[in-house]
Amino acid sequence: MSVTTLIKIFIAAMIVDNMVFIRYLGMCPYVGVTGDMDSATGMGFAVIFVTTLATVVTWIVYHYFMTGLEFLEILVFIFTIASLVQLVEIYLKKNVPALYKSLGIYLPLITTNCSILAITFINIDKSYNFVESLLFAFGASGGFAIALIILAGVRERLRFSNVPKFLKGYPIVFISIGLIAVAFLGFKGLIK
Amino acid sequence: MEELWKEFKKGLFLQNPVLILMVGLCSVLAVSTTVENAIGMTLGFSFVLITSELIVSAIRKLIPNHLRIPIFLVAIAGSTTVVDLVMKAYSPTLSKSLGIFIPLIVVNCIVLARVEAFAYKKSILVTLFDALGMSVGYGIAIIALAAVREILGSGTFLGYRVFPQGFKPAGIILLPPGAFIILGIYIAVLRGYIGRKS
Amino acid sequence: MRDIIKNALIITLVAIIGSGILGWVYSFTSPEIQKQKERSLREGIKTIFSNEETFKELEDFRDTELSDGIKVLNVYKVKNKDGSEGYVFHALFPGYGGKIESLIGYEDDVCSGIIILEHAETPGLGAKITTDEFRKQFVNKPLSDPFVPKKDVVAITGATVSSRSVSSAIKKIAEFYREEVKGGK
Repeated sequence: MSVTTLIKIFIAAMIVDNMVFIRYLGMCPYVGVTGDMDSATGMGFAVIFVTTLATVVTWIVYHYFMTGLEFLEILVFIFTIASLVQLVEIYLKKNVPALYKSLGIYLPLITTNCSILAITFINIDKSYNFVESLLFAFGASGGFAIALIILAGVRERLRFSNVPKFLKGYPIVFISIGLIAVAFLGFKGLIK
Repeated sequence: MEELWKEFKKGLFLQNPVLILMVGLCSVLAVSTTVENAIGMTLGFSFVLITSELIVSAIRKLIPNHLRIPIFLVAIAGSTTVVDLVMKAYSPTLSKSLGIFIPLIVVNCIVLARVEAFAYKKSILVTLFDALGMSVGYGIAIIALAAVREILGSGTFLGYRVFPQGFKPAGIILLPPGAFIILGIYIAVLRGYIGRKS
Repeated sequence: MRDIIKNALIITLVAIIGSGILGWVYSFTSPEIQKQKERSLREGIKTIFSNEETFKELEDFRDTELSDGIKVLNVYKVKNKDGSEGYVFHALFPGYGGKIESLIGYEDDVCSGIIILEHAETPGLGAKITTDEFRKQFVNKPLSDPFVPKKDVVAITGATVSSRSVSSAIKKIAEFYREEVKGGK
């Protein structure tokens, strides 16, 4: 578990195998929240936070409490994430109401963000140890946040451009995502 | 019967989960590289949607409101696990191609949304037709996308060569950009069609 | 307080019922899943050594890490119908788009062939490492060869990295094979 391996895992998770542009994960909230910069950044931070927390808990649960019960992985993990989100929501509502208000409906939306659940699955799939899992989670969710911000920037500009009528709205958004994805493809081969 | 048929039909086009409601997109984009994968994914997804909706609808009177989400999750995660295990046991190649997207059915927004908005409130029969309509609508979207991507991207359809030997397919269609762009075009087309009809 | 306990109990009950059903499904799918794994392993080995009669795993070599990120997962000793012996290495090594999982066969001083089980190479380019055209050049290839693309190995056009990953993996694992074979296994 050298430092180079750790850095590789982090960069690969964030850029080379970007959650959105390469792995197609987290699309539902992605398209919904990138309308403007503020929601995008808020959601980005929320995702990084929940993902890291979820990774810690699911990793410990899987490796210490689930031997022989691997078939319950899907059930246990989604329950964990849903509960964590609930707890975070309750905590924020009471202690940081301003943040709670700005995140609005996005917080419960995080539960169905497939990228979070996927990250917890991948950590098990690739047999990452605890530190590797944390780095992967951090990198991957960070990559998701970056993706959010990039697209929000693009969409804000799109609002002022001349988009042909039949492409207005979601169609042009997807085409934009596709074009950004081309750029991300260029990162393949960055990490051996 | 007329009512039930209407419930079924809305999932196909007007309220197509993928192209109009825009939910459940991850799996559609990732799995649509071949028509075979798209069909497999549709079957897995349909099983989870139909089973979860039926279970919840059947016991809906017994589910206390404040506990409904966790109970929905048990039903959905349970059906997803069943699909995952059965596929691994009897169709391992398909299971490998679909990869992580089978377990991810559990957070497919379509399922939770339908269970919450529909199965929890309506009778079993109506719920069944809703689930079927949504499943078919999902299938139409993902298979249509896969058809274009497989034909243009690999020159095959269901594994059979469609274009003459000399044709060099555009690999990028099988990569993320192709998926996103073609999906965008499909959404534009369907919305345009619906717009013109109304 | 009473409410929380009641809620917790209901959820636990539902979870137990759910897990119970899953456990039941697992009980009859898990042996099938095992059989599938054995079946694909046997098929893989038979493709490399068409004369295969039996094979067994040399468990001492399970999960050995070699240099350059190459990992030997399992080593199988194969006995052929004509009495000759070969070895099949189930290995994982880095490719262009991710890790490549493969079965590589060795017999005496040649490579007997390679099967690609899983990869993340570019469709239409690096993905061609699975084609017969690319793989057949490794059948009966002497291990003393350099195994370098564009020299003794025909690379895939536009996929030099993928081609190199495969060739150098076969060569590196061959070194491990020779040292292990010499070790008298």
